[in-house]
Amino acid sequence: MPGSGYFKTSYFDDMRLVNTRFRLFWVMVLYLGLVLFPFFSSSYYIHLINLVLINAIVALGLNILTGRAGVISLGHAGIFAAGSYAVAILGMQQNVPFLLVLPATLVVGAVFGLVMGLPSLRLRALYIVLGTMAMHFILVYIGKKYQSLAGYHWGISIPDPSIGPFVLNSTIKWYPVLIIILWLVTIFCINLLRSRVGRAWTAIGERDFVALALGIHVGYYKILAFVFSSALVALGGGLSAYYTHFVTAETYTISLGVTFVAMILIGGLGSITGSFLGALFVTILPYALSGIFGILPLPLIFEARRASIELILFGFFIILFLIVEPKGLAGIWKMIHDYFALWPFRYRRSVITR
Amino acid sequence: MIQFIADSLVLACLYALASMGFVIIYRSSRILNLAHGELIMLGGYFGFVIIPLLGGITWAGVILAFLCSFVLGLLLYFLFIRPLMGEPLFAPIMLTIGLSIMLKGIAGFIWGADPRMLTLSLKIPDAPHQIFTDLILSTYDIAIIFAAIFFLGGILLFLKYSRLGIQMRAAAESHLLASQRGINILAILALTWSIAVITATAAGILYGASVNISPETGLVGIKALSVAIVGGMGSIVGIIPAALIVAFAEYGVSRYIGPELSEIIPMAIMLLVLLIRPWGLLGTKEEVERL
Repeated sequence: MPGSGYFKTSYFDDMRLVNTRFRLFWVMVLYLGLVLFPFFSSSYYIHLINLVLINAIVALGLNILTGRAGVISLGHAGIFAAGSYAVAILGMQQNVPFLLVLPATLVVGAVFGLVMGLPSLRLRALYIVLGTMAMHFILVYIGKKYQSLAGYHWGISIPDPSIGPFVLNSTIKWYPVLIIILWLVTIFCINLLRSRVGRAWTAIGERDFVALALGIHVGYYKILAFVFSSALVALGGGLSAYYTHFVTAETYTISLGVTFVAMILIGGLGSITGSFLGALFVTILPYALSGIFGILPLPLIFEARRASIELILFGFFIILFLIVEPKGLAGIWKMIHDYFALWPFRYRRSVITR
Repeated sequence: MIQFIADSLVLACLYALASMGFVIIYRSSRILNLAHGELIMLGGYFGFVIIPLLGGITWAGVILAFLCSFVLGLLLYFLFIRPLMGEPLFAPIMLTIGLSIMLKGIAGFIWGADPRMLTLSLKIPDAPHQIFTDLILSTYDIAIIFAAIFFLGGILLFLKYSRLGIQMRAAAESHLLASQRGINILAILALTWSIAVITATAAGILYGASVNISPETGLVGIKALSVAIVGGMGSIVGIIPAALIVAFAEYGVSRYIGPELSEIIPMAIMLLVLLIRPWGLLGTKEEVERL
């Protein structure tokens, strides 16, 4: 932090995530807020936050690939589906315990990510998008085929998971579990992104020719980005399968993949904060809309076609952010943050990290 | 057997018509327009709304629908694509994703989610015609074949001989060089978007007439995209063999293996082509390198 009076005197200081007292204070406030939230809130709001937490895992995963390594993927709904089917097969049919299924979804995601990433050895940005899109349809087709062969034509329902004697059968019990998982994922992502691997991804995302000239093995790191992001997205898919108790191929449309992309675009490409903000925004928007329609005296047709209005707003916000503020909600957050950090001065400090 | 070939041929013509817009836009501005499927869908609704305005299907109605899509193309270009000119390719592609979501929402809001048969509003019965003893084609099937030949031939001739077409080819080669030769690059790019939207409208009207039209029709665009990729994104002639390959494979699989699998056949072919020959059947190799 230039000009703040905090100086790093050891390598340990340099590596610490919470490196100033100011930050420590606000991180503690955040933790306290997260702990106290369920006590002051109804189960409906906890349910909403749980959905946000699951989506945040997906957004973090996708942001590694799209935000950092600069590869747009429309196929991650297929990976999400793979995670869900892994839960359906392992958790439901084979009765593997919850805590073992979650690592399994990571592995499943990593494997499919590897497969999905293989074409990227030969292809450049634009063509990878199409490759991932094709993979999406093929993955969902495999899921559909499995469903019809195994006799679950209407979908697979999944019972409440349990950790030892602790059965996750209500939103309030899910909340701490999801918070802990998201916390682990976040810390993992932050550290991964500032490690050698993460810096290689950033270089590739900025300009892959330059990355190549710097001695980075572009193909290897691109596939690695696919593997990590797919693993996280599959974890999100697995959690969502447990949380919604239901897996069916109809859920995993290409629109779902587009929604994932919308999350990180609106939130902010390549930013951890942005992943959270984007997941929050995209998940809450439909519920907020129905709340608004409940209050405002609008013609009935607005309520009847709410889904369409959601789509219009999604699209509108994506375009708005791309044209006006390409850094997304995280960029706006940073602008506000900088304004107060620099007050009463108005100059912009040089930006080193994204 | 003849029936099978004819049906596949009709499907190929529909795909050719639908995928033309991808290639036209990609050639001129290097943008992959992922909203093209939604433009096809919107074109179908244009046909649904505009053509009955002038009383059944008349040439005036069709031309009015095309004029509307011409204006829509200009609007899209100047509102959304123009502000992002010069940005990395990433941004315009993302923007077309946003656009596709928005167009789908707008169509769903105005016309509702139920699929509609365009045939009813066009007031032309979809009558079967017996052409040979074992070959039956409907009115709209024949219309699709003629429209595909008309648009494909028209655009190829336009690009080859007309002044604007030559300018378009120049712009496709290099924006900078073309603009330094006095070509109004903005007008040319806007025009290519308009032409692409017009072909999308034609495809949309014909698709809506022979199947139906709903906000989900945009998914046709994904199949059309695979045709464009198989043929080569930069090559209009490449559409012809690509559409034939994809349509015959899809129809053949649906007939001999199962309709469920046929849904993903275009994707599978696209993936195969991307892996083996990413620049497509008739595209040029530099196409892939240049990005």
